[in-house]
Amino acid sequence: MKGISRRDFLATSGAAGAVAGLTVADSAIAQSSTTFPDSLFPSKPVNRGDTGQLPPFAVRVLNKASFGPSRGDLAAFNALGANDTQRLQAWVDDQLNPAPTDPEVDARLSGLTTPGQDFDTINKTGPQLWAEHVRFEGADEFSVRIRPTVQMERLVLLRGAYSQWQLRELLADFWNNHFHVFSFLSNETRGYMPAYDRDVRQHMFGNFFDMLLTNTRNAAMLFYLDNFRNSWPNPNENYAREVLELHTLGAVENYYGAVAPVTVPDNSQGQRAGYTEIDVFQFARALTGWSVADGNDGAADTGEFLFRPGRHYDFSDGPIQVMDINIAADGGETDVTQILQYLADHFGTARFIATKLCQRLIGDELPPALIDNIATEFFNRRADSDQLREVYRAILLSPEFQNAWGEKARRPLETLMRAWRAADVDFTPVASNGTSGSILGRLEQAGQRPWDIEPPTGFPDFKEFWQGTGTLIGTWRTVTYLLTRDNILNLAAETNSLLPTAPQRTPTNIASSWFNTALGFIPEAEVITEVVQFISNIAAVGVDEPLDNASNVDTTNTSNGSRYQRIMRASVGLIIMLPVGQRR
Amino acid sequence: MKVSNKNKLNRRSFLRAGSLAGAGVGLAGLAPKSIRVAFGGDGGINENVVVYIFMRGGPDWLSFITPMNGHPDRGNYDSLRVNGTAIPSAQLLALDDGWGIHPSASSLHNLYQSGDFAVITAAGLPIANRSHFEAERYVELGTPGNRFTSSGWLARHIQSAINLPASIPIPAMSAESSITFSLLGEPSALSLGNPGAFDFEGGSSNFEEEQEAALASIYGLGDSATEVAGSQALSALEIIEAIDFNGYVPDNGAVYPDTDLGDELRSIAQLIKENTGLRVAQADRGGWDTHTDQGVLVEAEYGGRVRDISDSVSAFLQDLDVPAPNDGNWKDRTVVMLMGEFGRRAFDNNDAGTDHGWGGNMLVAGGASVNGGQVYGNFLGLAPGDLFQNADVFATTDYRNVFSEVLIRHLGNNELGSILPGFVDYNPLGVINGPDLPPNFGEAEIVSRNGFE
Repeated sequence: MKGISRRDFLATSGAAGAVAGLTVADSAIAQSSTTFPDSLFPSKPVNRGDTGQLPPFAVRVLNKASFGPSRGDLAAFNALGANDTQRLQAWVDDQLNPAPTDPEVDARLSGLTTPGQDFDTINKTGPQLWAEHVRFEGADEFSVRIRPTVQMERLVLLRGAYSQWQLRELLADFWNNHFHVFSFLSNETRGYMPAYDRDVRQHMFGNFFDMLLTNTRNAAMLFYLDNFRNSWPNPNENYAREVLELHTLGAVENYYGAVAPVTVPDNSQGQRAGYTEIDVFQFARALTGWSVADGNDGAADTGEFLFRPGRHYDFSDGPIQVMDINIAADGGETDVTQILQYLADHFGTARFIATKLCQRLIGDELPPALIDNIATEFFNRRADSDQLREVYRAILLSPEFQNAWGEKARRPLETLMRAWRAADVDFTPVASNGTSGSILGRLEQAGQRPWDIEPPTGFPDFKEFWQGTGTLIGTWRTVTYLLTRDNILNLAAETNSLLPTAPQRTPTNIASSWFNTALGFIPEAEVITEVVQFISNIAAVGVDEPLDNASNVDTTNTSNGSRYQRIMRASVGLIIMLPVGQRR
Repeated sequence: MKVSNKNKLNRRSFLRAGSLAGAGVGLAGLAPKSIRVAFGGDGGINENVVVYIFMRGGPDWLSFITPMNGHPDRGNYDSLRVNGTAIPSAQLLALDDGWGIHPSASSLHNLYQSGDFAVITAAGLPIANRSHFEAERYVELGTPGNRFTSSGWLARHIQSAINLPASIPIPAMSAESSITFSLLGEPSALSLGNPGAFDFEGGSSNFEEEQEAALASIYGLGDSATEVAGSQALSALEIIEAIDFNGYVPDNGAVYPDTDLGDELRSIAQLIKENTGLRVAQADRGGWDTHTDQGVLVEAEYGGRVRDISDSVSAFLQDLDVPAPNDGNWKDRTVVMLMGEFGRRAFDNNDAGTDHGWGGNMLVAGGASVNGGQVYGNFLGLAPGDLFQNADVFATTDYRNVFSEVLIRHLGNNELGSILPGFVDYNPLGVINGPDLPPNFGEAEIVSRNGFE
């Protein structure tokens, strides 16, 4: 997809180049005289500590466990108790128990009925999506089939920007990525994403086995990783491998590779510590017939889960042995469910999920004792209906979470959402509005359009990966695009409400007001100086001189295209793009 | 990989403080013996380029380079490929030793015949690993068995090389929007997925230039990873803005395929010829994880991907066949190396696809830099007893051996101990042309010896 927009760009841009049309000999001369304004090598040596100035506790919490504070969020957090510990506990209690209602999201969704401006697919049942989109045939076929994904991508933005249940949205992103499906793969994924996201969310605060089992039965996953056609006598290993490697035990600690299973030691719980290639093969065999009602081989065509006994392993080649599970005779679906239960209850899974969650919420490098604690919580609560909620709670109340800052780099989607909230953007990204497509296209260039990554590993979650030049420029390009749109934000009017009289509107005061409003704290002196100087430069006034003193800035004119508006957008944009905004 | 960081840090500050035109001169008295060797007798600057194309997903190499009639394993191949993935012998384009290349790879076949393309069979990880997640990290990080290495093999080449100029506009790049694992941990590496989108695009009415300049100042204030990354990104913005990508016309009438890979290689060729100092570049070509309906001869499937690879690499080398500064030729100074994270099963599955396996191929292309027109490697065969676990092609050439040959003979960097720690079995196949250097299997120690630590 990347190539398409690039080629469009090249096709529509006709600038004649300095080198174009020259002969080989000429071009060699012309090229060798090229001078560059800067060099990437050598870079400045990197100091591995990355906290910068430490922001206040509330700012840190809301940047790590939400997409970032919006108007009033910091004050609300600070009103939750007498000290940081109380406030965090109260905030976590609230966020771990999201109500079914979500006022601002619900309000923005309600009343959208015009085709193209609505979200009419997001509440459809699986069979409805299957019949009305996946299998749709007729006029405008492709756009009907892909509409569920088009709407879900925009719903990710809408929820991230406006949901009161920010932790839930962050975790929904985590679990969608954990059980990653590449949404653009085929009709069965494109047309089915609302049901997929709904299944992921269903047990997000509940029990991991329930979540896993639900996931294995979803058509989007079964099509993405090929298990819908996995059949005896030639099993397709793809899905079995990824359930072990990505969804449960993980390849990091628990994959023993091409060795004999008997050589794998036991773990601290007396379970076989990990899986081998033989276990992958055996699990693939168990998963034969774990399929979808897709209209083939006499099945209905509803997209619902379907176990197909005729495709299932017939035990002609001996029992199924996956790690400690031995299945001697055909038990149909239970051949799979007992293995899934075993995997969900395995201490290796507890460690893998604990590690990934801590890496999401705290940092890339974690103390082993923390992982042990969280894994033990996950393991001990494996039979509980609120297992995952209590695991999140343990992570969020840990000293490591409370103390961490700057151990993660924001990924493009997270930076965009933070900017959206910090600038208080008022925009419901409906499909018919080209701005929503442009935002998603820019996110794609930055490398993190929702569900838009082909491999089942999903988006990586470690710092260095997201600090490349292309990632950062692509992210800032997306943020700049959002913050320069007309009619969805009015930073000039907001500045005037912060600084009610014209004489107050000096670069120094404007910077100070927006540090409080968009950052939540006052940065270090040298950063202040740079920001104030920037405002002063583009407004062409002294740092303590009201903007109106220069005849070209009329601070009463807050219209979209006014000079004042553009100056305020650039200034707030600069504050949002400060280094602190890349950290979490 | 603490050592790499240490090297980079100290070498950089040293170079910066010295601001040397020819780094070799200033370093000679300080560098340890193993390093001084690398300078050779010509002032010490190596101007060669490596383009590393990663075929993400793990290609079915037996469909790319295939036994033909006359190959001792053609019969085994026919009995292993019974579900629609076999390529008839008559359609293959003959290489040597009974091997044929895929019919859509006629461009590579031409390069083979002109001595510009070579195949290494039975290459791969030293120990089988059929996980994408682990195998691609093992390969690109250069540390099989350790996926936590904080830098990639090409990054550590840049960090340990002492034959680079004091300052380079763009020493290394990923042609993807994100940094690739092989370049991870080197802040000077550019990631450039799309030159047309490498810009804030705020425009002058939104004070774009002023905003970028202010951000550059602010990110320049500190030396945290975040600030350095931001600084580098803003520097990259300046450099990329100075290059006219739209106006680029490939040399020698080269026509790149209208694909992502074609676009990426065209950008890389331009950056090479614009004298940005590019030394290493990576481009990804994915789509090889073909568990079902592989479509070996289908243009929309496997066949089209082979054609894309073949025509893109061919156009790239044609485009580079032009004079380079200091009496060189860019094609002769370039090595293109292709590989994926693993090969696939020797047999196909019931779904006309193939599952993950072990041994695969590595492909190498270039001008005088490459000893082409040959098939290298020790292929043990496809008979049941010759396969690993009766399933996969045995990898008999450690991929690090090929990396090492490229590093030493082409990039003039013999610091194998820093770039590929733990690898001590260097035994060049002869696929790369270039001067030999004794490998240093220990750590590069520029730093502690030059007094800057």
